[in-house]
Amino acid sequence: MCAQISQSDGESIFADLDDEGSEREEEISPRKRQLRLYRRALGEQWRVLSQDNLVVASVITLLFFITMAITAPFVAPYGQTERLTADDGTIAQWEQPFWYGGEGGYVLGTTAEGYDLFSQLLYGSRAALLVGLLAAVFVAGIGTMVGLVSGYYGGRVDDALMRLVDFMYGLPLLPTVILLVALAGPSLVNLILAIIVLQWRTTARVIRSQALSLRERPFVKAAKVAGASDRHIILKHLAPNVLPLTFLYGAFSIAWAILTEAGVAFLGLGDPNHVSWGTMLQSARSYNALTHEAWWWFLPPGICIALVVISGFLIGRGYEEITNPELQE
Amino acid sequence: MTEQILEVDGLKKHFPVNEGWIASMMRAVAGGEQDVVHAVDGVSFELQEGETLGLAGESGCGKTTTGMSLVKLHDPTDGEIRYRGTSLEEMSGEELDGFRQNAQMIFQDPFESLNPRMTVYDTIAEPLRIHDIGNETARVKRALEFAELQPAEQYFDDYPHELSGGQRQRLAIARALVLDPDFIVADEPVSMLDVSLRAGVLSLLERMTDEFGLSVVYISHDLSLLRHMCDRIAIMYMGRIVEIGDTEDVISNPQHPYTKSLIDAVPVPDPTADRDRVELSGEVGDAVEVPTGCRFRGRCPSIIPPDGIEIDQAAFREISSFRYRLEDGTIDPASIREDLDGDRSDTAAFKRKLREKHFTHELAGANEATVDDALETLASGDTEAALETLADRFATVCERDDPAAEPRVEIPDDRGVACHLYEPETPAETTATGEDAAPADD
Repeated sequence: MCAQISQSDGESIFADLDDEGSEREEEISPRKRQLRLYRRALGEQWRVLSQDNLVVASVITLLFFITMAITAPFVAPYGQTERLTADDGTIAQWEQPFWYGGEGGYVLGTTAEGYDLFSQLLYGSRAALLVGLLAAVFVAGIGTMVGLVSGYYGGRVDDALMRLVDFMYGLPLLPTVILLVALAGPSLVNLILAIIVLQWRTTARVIRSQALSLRERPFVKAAKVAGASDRHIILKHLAPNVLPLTFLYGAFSIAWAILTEAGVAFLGLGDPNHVSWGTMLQSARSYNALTHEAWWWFLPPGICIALVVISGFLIGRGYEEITNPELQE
Repeated sequence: MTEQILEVDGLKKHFPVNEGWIASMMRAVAGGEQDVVHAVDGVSFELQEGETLGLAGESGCGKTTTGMSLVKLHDPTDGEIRYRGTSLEEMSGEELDGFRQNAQMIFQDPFESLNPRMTVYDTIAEPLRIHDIGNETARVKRALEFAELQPAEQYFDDYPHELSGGQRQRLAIARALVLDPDFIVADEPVSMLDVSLRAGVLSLLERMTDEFGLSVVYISHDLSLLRHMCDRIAIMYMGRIVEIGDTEDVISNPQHPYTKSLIDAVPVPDPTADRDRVELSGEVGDAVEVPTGCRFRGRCPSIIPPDGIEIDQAAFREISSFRYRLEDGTIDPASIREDLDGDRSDTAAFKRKLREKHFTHELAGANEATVDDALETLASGDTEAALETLADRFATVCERDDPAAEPRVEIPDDRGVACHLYEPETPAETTATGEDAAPADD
């Protein structure tokens, strides 16, 4: 088999490939191939993930909330800040759910200000998921980029970036977010920005340590010998090897971001134009829903927050099994 | 007819010793020089087109660092590497690009040298993409087939962890070959492989050398492998080449004491074979504080006594090794004194103890007198003076002059040997450091 391609001494085995008209292999389309490989990798990861029932349940929960967020305008019976009136023209305050003997047929009753709680709960999922997903993407993305650059180049670059991370670690999360939001104005975008600014530090640290060990691996040296640029090495050799870790930290930061948003909103610094689960809890507290025993006001948003956060953590934990095969049973 | 492809001239690669930032600041204030590890410290050789050169030596002698410098994975601290006449450091972007296409490396561990997240196809296609070379699929297929991974298509989508060790090393070889290079550094290419797979990979390497007309530098500690694969061989010790020449000549007729001991260490599959073995004592010297003169002197079995001294070779070795170890602090007079039974100021007992431990050979005459005098001084606590007393009589050319791996009068053929036992052919002005001694040229 090899005899047919071996030639006289010193003659390249590739020599005839550059001649015009020589028989040509069909070129493999890089895009189609890449797509197929991605699909295979995703399939394999899903197979590992789906072995754990808790992870499957978490994914279903998260999908449920995503559907809820997308379909909120169609499902919600009222607007999120639409004041409801009873038949006699007064504002429908403190209505109980219809299945609890309340009047007006409200699924979860109304607030002290006459808003429909069920509609608020549906719209609230939008804020939570927007904050959670956007923050996760940027936290994981920025953290990974900073970590890779810092770890790969080392030296001064590493020193500068890691001192910045050290500085970030010195900032307490909630007080700083509150301060930033107070300065920039309470809007959802500002809140997301504040969360991103404060959360990328952890991802950057972890990815850097990975990059530090990866850059010494012989396959990076082999790429250098083949003439690869720094950019090529970072993108093709380092990034794919830290990607599972990026996903892991992304999944965890969904949970952290939602908790932070709820916390800030509960303290009264939420976006006044958008209802979130956190602002629902905040108004439940300020109108003393607890002493009115209006549990349908504060329990549903609390449960929703808990469910989304737990789902994020469980998916993250399931991902840990991929990044750290020793955890697999 | 053959062209010189690579020329290494006084290559040095020193690595700074890691120190804390406080230490580094103190040094900056005090104005000392930073400690460095002398991984490669003055290596010169050249490689002809189509020639295979073996670099041999024990762990830590600098062979891998040399190999990595050859493909520009390290920039030399000093000295020069010229590829087809152009210095690697002075190459323009375009020339460097050409060099990167033509010089490749095969690494020791095939489990580490392949990206675990890249398929076989992507691994081999990567160099082609970097250099923007067309006909990708056909080339990848050829390279895989040459490395006997057939049918090539079946391996395209495999990841390295799905391959065996032998297949992985074949893949690494295919990656090195796909750019059609003319120079390859193979760093212990089979040492991580199962013995049963080595023959296959070795014959692939041989075929590669022949059919591609490659110049190859093999790095290995396995002399029998190098004897099999290489035209020429260079033996390294502590960052230096101690002997370089035709493989057969060097192995069948080693001249440098270190080469002799290396070859004596190769097992012979004959239990009745009667051999005079040279066994080395002691440890490899410190690569930070390199010894003066010949680096092998601390372990050398044939260390040269100074002119005009009548002394048995073994006895002289003993005295020398005692001096060197006293000098670098391995022998600590204070702790010996503490070990003494009874009276710690008993000079006679102290001397007896030292003699028991370090001098087994009989000494006579002036030699005995000098040693006794030195031990007496040592007992009085003055290590410096004791060392001086010994050095006055026993200092040898091996610690004064640093020999270069150059042709020697007593040794025929085109051989470079770095040892004072032989007269240099060209009476070069060997200096204390030997840096500007004549290189081993042909």
